[in-house]
Amino acid sequence: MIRQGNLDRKTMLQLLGAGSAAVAGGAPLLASADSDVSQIAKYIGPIDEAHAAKGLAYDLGATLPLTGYAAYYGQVMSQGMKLAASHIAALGGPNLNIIYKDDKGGDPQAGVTAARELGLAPVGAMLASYVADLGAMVPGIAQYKIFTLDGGGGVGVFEQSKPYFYGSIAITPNDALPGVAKYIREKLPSVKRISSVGWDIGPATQLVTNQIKSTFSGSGLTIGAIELTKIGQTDYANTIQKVKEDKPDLVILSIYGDDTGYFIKQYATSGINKPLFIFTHTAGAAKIAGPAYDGVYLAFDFFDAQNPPNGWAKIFVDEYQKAYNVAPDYYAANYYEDTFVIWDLIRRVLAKGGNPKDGEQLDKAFRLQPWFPSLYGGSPGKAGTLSFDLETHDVKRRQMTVSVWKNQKARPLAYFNINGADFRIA
Amino acid sequence: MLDNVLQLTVNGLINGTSYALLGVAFSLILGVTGRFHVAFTFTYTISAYLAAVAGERAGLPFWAALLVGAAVGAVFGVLMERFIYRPLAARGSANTLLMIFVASLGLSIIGRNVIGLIWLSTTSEQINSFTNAGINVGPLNFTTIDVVNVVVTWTLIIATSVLLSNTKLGRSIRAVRVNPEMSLVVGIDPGRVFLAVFAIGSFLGGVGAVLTATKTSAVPDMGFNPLFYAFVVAFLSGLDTRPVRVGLVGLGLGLVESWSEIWLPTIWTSLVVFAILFVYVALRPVQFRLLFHRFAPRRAVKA
Repeated sequence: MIRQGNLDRKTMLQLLGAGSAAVAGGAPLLASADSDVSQIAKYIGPIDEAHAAKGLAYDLGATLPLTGYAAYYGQVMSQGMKLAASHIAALGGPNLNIIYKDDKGGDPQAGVTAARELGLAPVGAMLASYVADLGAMVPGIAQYKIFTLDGGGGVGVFEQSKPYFYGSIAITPNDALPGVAKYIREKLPSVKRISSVGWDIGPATQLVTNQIKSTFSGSGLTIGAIELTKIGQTDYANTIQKVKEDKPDLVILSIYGDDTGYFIKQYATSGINKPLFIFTHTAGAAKIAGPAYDGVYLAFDFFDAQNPPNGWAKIFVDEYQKAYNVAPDYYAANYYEDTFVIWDLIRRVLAKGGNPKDGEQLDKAFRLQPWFPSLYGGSPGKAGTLSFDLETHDVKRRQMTVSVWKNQKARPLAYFNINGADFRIA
Repeated sequence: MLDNVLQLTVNGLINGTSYALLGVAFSLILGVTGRFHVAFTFTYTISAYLAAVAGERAGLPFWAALLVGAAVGAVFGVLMERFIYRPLAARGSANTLLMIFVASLGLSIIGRNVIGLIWLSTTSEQINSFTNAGINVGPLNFTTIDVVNVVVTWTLIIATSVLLSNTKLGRSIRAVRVNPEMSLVVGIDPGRVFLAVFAIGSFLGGVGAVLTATKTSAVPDMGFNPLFYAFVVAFLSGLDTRPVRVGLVGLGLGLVESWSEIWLPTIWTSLVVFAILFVYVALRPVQFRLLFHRFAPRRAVKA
């Protein structure tokens, strides 16, 4: 039942590790012999061999949704990390031992346990997800001083400016909303009333809905019904009925993972027939929705695997396809890139004679120079730049798009940056 | 407003139909055997997955895949009764009820994780051999799978009712439900009846699972919510052996839950089900005691 191109069963069992066991990277990927991995240095800048941490055994935490309804995310995220670890080793860097923990896709208790276990291990750095598991891990991250990047949910609207915790993805859906509003104004002028369906994520829900209201009302649009759903819900008949009753011209859907697929599948037969905007994409959701996925608008960080924007990104795409037999999405790209951020910080700390296993020193090095080479943007000869806002801990810039799904592909319709900056129709 | 009420009524009837089938399946097992069969979640889920495999990988048409899925659920139900519950019950311990409950809970957790591991790379499975389409009747909207669900479910409930009333097996089931020891005296083997009940109940649950998975998809956790509804319906119907009555309780529950959305946000509607359960328990203490009496340890007596 395990399909090729995904994690093999042995590795995944190791990943799961009874939910808590540390796994020293599982079966490590080897950079393929005919690859251009050695060329990565050309794009990301000079690597000082003296401080590259060659051969250093380095524990890197990874708290990801490995099981449950959001397991797809964990799969591609871990694939990105695993590939990065192999490339870093091939480039003369440390041997990253990735210690996986399962946050079960937004299970706060699982997140708290993971933060505690990684803190006691101890690890100095971690890649996490789900806005560090819906905020539950953030106190532990501060307590144990684990330098943490969340490339799946960013810092969200509710975990900004928290010590040691940074988001390496645009805040979804908030950072994309201004660009979406601009697109609606330019290309869907008949839209006047918008209904919103989103996850109930506890107290933070209000922050998300407030931003939805302020963004769209500021663009002359009316927000009608705001319906909340449970994480992991599969039946949306009554939610859709409430949306229908609201008579919207357009619906925005800020739910994630497979939930998106279930909603779209049922929305397609509801008779509403109005444009639907979503802020995530997973192969799993597209599979669940089936033909109903065609015509759905997508708005989020855009990693163009078809046309990688720089040389490093091209190597990443080629290598990822070789390793997993599938093109990488933006989650795989983010976790690959974030693993390189950690290596960059390790080098910076070593260059100053510090201890790279100390989260506090990693954080200090990060704050001194919060920008890094990126798979996003740049030019064929040079990697793009990933930069962080030291006040909010959010990314400063991130290429995003409004796309439409057609024939198994997202076709970009408009490009923009955070807060709708640099908006242009494709 | 009227359109909204009508649509919520339709949604309630559709959901209530699903609850009805779950309630009939669960109350049959619980009422006759006294087994608190939490692993119903596993037989439910595996039915959906196997139907998906039968349809998508083996290329069977939808109806054949549905039968395969439900039959697999029935087989697992029988195996659980024969090789896990019965040996535990045969020990005759004062804690039999608890032991079976814990064993069943363990099975449900193991089953969920085994399914999760087998279908690791995809997590969910779709049943695409049935083309689901929207149907609009005036302001009302539903889908073809909803129609199939209603027709199939009520056909099965009525068929189960006929089976219990008019067949030798049905009379045996009713006899064992009333008094397994006495039924043994009159030549009925309660052990075999228990197996039959697990087969029928798991089959009915399996059909419900396949229909639900056709509407959404098969996922490892899909059995837990239905177990909750199945329990509530079985509880509210007092473990009645008359399937139509149990089914109507399920239908009523679906309607009340759906109508509550006229006043409540969608996300809170499951609380309505809890509220109904609470009120029932509070107002029917006598029946509550009877129910627990029915849960009393019971052996599958063999001659």
